[in-house]
Amino acid sequence: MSPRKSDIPSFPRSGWRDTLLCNVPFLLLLAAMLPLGYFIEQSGWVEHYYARMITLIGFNVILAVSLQLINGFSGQFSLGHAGFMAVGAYLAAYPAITYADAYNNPTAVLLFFTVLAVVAGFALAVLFGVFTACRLSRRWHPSLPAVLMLLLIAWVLTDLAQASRYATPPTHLIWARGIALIVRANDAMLTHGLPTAARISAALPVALRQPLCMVILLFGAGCCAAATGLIVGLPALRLRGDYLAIATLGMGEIIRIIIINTPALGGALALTSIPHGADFAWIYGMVIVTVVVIWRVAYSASGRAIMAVREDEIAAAAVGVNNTVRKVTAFAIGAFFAGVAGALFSLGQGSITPNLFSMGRSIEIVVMVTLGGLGSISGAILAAVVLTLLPEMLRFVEDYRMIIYSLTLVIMMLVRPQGLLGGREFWPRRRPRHTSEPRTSATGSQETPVADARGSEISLDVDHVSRSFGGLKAVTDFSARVDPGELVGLIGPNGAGKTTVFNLVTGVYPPTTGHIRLGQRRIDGHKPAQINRAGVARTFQNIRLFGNLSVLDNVCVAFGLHAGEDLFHTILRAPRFARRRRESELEGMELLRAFQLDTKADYLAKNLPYGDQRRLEIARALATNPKILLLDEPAAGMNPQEKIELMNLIRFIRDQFHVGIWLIEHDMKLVMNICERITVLDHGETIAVGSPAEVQANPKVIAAYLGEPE
Amino acid sequence: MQQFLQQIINGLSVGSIYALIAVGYTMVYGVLQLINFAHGDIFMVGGILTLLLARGMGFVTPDHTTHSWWAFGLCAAMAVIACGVLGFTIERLAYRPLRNKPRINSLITAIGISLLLEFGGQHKAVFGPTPQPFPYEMLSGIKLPLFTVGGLVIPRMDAMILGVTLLLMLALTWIVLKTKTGLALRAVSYRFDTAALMGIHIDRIISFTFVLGSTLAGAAGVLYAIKYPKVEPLMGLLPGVKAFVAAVFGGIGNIGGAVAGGLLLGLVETLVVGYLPNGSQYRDGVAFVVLIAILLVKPSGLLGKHVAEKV
Repeated sequence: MSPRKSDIPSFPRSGWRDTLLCNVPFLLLLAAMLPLGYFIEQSGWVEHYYARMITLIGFNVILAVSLQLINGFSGQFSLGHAGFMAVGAYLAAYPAITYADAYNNPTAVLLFFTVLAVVAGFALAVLFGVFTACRLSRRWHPSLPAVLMLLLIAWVLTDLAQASRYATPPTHLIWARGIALIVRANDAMLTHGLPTAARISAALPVALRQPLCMVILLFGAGCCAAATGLIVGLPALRLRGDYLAIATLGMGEIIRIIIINTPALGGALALTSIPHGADFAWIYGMVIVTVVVIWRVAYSASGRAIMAVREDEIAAAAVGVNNTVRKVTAFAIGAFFAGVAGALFSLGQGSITPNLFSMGRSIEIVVMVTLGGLGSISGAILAAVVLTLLPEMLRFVEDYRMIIYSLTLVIMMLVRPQGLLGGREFWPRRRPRHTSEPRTSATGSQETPVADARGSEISLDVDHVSRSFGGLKAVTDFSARVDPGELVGLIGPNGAGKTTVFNLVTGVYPPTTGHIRLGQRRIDGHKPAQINRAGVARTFQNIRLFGNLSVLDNVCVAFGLHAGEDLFHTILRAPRFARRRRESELEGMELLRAFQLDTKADYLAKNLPYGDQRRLEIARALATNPKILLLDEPAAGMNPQEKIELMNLIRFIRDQFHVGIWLIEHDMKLVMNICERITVLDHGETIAVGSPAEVQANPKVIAAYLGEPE
Repeated sequence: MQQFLQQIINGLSVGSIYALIAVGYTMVYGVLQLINFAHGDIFMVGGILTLLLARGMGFVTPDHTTHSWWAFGLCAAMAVIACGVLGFTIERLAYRPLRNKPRINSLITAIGISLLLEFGGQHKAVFGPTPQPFPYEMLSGIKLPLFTVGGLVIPRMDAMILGVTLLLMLALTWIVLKTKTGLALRAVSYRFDTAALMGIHIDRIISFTFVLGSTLAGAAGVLYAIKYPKVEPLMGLLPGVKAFVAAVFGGIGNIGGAVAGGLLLGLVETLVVGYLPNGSQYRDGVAFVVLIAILLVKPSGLLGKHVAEKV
């Protein structure tokens, strides 16, 4: 850290104060649920009907808020939330009935989930094998995975069909036998473990047994749902938008059909006599936990990355955000709490049927989230309350109740398409703490946050790279080198393949042939996020900012996640988290100051004027601490005055951050003025390399731009 | 072998109904990128309205044996036309005001409309929640075989379903490929804004798409009610979702793909029911398993084109 930063007095180094301020009220609120639960359920003050409505609202709030993380914050579209709820409900009800011994045997429940985890581990290993095989086989032929997949499905199905004729499947039926083996191992683990579990439980204090049981059941059910989310999510999140919606919808239905066909879970009939364990205090305790956890995840560095994925996946990858990890994180956390809601539901209601978790239920939750306003947690809560009460309040119109309900839905969407709260939160979000008075300006700044990049002598080396799309050769045999502190230009007529070169270097697509190295490291064939983390940052020809994130957040996303910003620290608001958050806000502000954007730090990026957006995009790229910076037409759309400022800015960046800058630009004055070396492309082929003067004099270049003399 | 062929015929007949619904989904999606959740309910309206009309006009006597094919055809045609009008109205009132808003909003209104049609249908003044038998006996002899080839029975019912589907598909192909409106429709689904700049009346084309799709869905509803002679307000739910799956399966936005997807889905479903142990219990899950498997290996569907985003 630079010396200047630690001078600032108003930021204590320890973050304990923040941690306490966050967590003590939360714990107090949790504790308050016990007397409140007594008041609502046992005192007789609240009618049974209203108490029931309050619990129903509780379930819906958990479901809506957890789906908000998936649909609102990560921008995915899940239509299978009820499926996760079903997983949680059934996998809490089953051990509660079979092993919990009226909530006296928490160890047995724990054993059940452990065994389940082992079995799931096997299943995951098999799935992982299948997907690796798919990925590898794609290299031979693009449609090979499809063929293999269909063959595999056919094999598994015929295998299982044949096995149904035997009591124990013979050895040649590998899949059926494997499943039988797993089932047997599972039985063995349970039967041998159960007596020990009972003994351990008996040793536990009586008062602890029920709460422990509940915690294990809720957590276990949540984990099962999250695991389902992972299994479904990893492959399905490759799909976009509506495809994902329909895949998750299908998943929800598949889960329901599996339950209907599993006799141990009650089949199509109700699973009854689930011991009652989830009372008001548990339900609302979990409501609070859900809201707090999701709030903390959503408004943190992780959440910022999740929102960046929602705003623009390509730009997110270009600043080092791993899209898959972020999407899966959001998906798994959302699924976890849906599972918890399911568990609470089954343990609170006493009986469940598969049809409670149908497609209609999923749709209902999606409606809550959208009606509340995408990206607003308080909106989801509000909509959950309103939509639970609305059908009840309409009871007096009897037959017309649901008709009015659906009409209200349509009309509300027509009148208020942005949702009740329209992406805002009901209570104010914490404002980033930063000093707003400018201390250094673009030209006078002596220290910059990423000045420690200085001295890294790593250069970018593009070695005989080609790329073709189908029959079109976009780039042929292209070579170039950018050293740190150097300003290199890449010019050529429209469609010459300049942006393609940048896309190849940053991993948007891999080169067909050739190598790209950063220092000693090969980076071709890597993913954009990895290449960015290795030290190559870029801007885009058509600006790609995270429009609905603040200017400061745009830059902070690019810092990446550091120690203390992982989920564990984020959820607990650990001291390290608070420190790290302050640091990154300060660093972000300093970077913005260098680009004269600090006074607009709280604006949404989409509301900035054009020139500011261009500069913000460069600042964001620099925040990833690159060794090489690629600028794709930074002067596009700028007036002469702005172009001169840009020229100074580029020189300033080169000197201050000691990065190698590689520049695509059509403005010849700018290129010739600032670049030390220039490569000229035409129809994907390099037609000239050299200093500005050399290139300008090259007849081939003149011909490419102005045409051959007749 | 003979049993297998019989299954294939049955599968094609179910599949062609899915295909008819799927075409509507895919056309609307192609133009508006909207999953028209109410589409399955328009299908339901087609089936129910035929029954209500037949009753209202006194064609159905208590013993269900009555009148003739033309009476039935008249009711069916009126119901199908009504479906077209319904589709037009829904688009005009519920989707058009939201066209420039995020797509999720139209999706939610679509869900709202779908619920409205379902709950409206369940109201006792309209139809009521209990399933009622469909008077397919009006079509005398529909259960009899049309002809038999070496033990292979071609039922009149399936022949009629396939025939009607084929006819409608030919008409649709003609409209989409040979008429000026069809050309405009393709242009709009290819690029919305540019089509408008070329002087195409976007609103008119979108309305036309909805009318076309809803008409086909209504026809599918009638055929479905003949094949499974029972109608109820929720009958559109599952076929609707499956047809959408079929559309995605074939590559959404692609009319040929929707037909292929529908037929394939019908076939797979019938074969699973016919040949897997306890197959009938998994019948409704098959569609989704196949869908997910296909999407994983070919995310754009069977005939869909993968569109890479330009950077």
